[in-house]
Amino acid sequence: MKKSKVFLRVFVLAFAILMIFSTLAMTAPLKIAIILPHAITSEGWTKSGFDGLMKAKEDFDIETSYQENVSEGELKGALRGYIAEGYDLIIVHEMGYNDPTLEVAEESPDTMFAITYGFKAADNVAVTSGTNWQANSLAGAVAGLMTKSNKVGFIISNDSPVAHNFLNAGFIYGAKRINPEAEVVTTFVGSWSDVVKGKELAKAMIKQGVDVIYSQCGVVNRAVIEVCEEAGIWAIGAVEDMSYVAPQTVIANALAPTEYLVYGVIKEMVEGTLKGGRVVKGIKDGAEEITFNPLLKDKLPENGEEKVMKLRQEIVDGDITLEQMKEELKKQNIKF
Amino acid sequence: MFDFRSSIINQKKYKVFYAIIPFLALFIALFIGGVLIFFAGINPWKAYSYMLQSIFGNIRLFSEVFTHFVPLVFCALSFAVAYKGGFFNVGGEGQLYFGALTATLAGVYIQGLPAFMHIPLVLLTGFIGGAFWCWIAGILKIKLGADEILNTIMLSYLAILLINFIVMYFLKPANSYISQSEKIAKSAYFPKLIPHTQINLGVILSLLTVIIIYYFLYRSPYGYQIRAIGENSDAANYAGMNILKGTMTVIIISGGLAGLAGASMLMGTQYRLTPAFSPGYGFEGIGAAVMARNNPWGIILTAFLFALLRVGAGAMQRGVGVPLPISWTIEGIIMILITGSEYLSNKFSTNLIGGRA
Repeated sequence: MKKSKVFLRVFVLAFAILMIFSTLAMTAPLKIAIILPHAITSEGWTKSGFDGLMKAKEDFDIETSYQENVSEGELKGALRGYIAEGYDLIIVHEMGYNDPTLEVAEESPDTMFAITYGFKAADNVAVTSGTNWQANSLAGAVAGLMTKSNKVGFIISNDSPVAHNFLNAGFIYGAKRINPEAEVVTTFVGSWSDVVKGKELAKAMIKQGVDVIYSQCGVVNRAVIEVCEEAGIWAIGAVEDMSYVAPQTVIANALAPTEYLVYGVIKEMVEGTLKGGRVVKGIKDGAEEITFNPLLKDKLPENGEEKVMKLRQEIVDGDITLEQMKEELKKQNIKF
Repeated sequence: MFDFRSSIINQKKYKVFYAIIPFLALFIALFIGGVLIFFAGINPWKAYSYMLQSIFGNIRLFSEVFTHFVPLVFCALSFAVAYKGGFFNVGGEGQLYFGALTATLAGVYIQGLPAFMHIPLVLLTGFIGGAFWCWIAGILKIKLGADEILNTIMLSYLAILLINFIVMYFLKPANSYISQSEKIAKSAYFPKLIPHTQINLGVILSLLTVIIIYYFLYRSPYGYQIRAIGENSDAANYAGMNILKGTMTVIIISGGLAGLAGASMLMGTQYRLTPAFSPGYGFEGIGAAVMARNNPWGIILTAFLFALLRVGAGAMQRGVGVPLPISWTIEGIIMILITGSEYLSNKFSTNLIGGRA
């Protein structure tokens, strides 16, 4: 064979091999992991986040992994474990883990991190947060609307600054806005999973005369709805549509599915648009919503739905902000 | 009467039997765990080989073992020392939390000290905090005869909730929305022995403490007294030993060691105090101590084993999806089998003094 022919064949072969390898590298699926503070069976927050990962796995060509029940003490170990295994994006599904995640992120600038509902971001840390008040204030509006005894209940998990300044402030404002006579009873369970305590708190509230309860407390939500069903009072679902638990009791749902946030982050990662920094998504972005149970729409008072939707529109248009809500409550000397 | 049994027992082949029992137990536990993993729908062979290859094949992951090893050693020593002195301290978890609290106060609010002064100071405050918390249960036993098992456990829950409250309402920076304390000063961080790994001063400290505790308990006259009090307090009293002083000494040391566990976590990896600070090191340390028959050298091995299992469990879930509860089950089975085998081998032996080694 002539020298040039040999050379040509070798060149073509080498070029082909190079092309194959580079396309393989390009199409090597992204490795995405999620770290969950509770079990994936925890309805609401945790399960929703996990569902986001699973849905993304169906829609995109990615490798996924998860680690559940990760406590604060184990967080850094879990993060470093994923970094050592070469993951491209690690989602930390817990607001309270913000600082340790940032510390570990510093050690590994080539890895992308995402925190749901965090506060501090970095170049390789994207924080995607719900508002924590928009859906809750609409829940409050529904509660104020439906109550006949003018006493509504709000069950929150942990007594934290966020609980007071965002969730509670929003809820109380919403209730009072629709029904200035309404009184809000807020109690804290102290965990996301103490179902027994949650049930007791709900029953105690009902004894006090509360006739609408909104529970924002992980696995406890379902138990509280069941208590409301037994007592024959209204319940408002949280995070996801919980009408299926008690179709004649759940009058409305304040949606804030973490599935949406997690899926959004993964989508941006896959498309290459995920950046560090903090983004807050509310009703306008489709991350939160209030929905009424279609089976019970006839139980709403006249113009009830309109009143709630009016508040919703004000929130979406930016005519009312959380700061204004808190100002209004402070003016009326209402503690949140 | 000639002791037939011990003359048989001391034959070499039985000694070999004693030595391989722990490994046999480990193997059986892993086998049972493999069955559980199989029922969870995962190939156990794949799961275990993934675990081994990720821990031993990856230096960064391997060094994570030490973040668990250090507090486990301290907590195990805490239980072992108290046990030798006749005090059943099962409240290591609460003492860890309280020691972490006092250490945080010294680490955050004392600024401007050089590291060689700040680190011992924070360690000392951690020791004092843990010792104090154990002292509460101890004084209840000494003055009122109240059983320490219940008290130390109840105080554990109290400590965890108390720290939760203090962190949220006192230690949290005013404008922060997250329930955590400020970071401790950089001068209180444990220096890393090998950069970019988790092998830091804590590892050396924990090993040093093992050596110190060994010499104290087994090579010093006071240690002898303490062990005598632990084995038979009436005989010790008759021999003129001060029971009160001896018991109080182990209470303080035991609580202090658990406090050191909290302080070492703070200075080695966490750098700040948070509500769910410890993932159960206090309780796991008890398991490690029992499995090591409360022997300080054995504790090094068992604490390392438990630390390996923790890291391995995480790796197995990340890699092949083995649910964590299965890993916890494996750990539990290991403990049951090894302590159970301990009981069986004791039945052969004639040295049964209250069942303690």
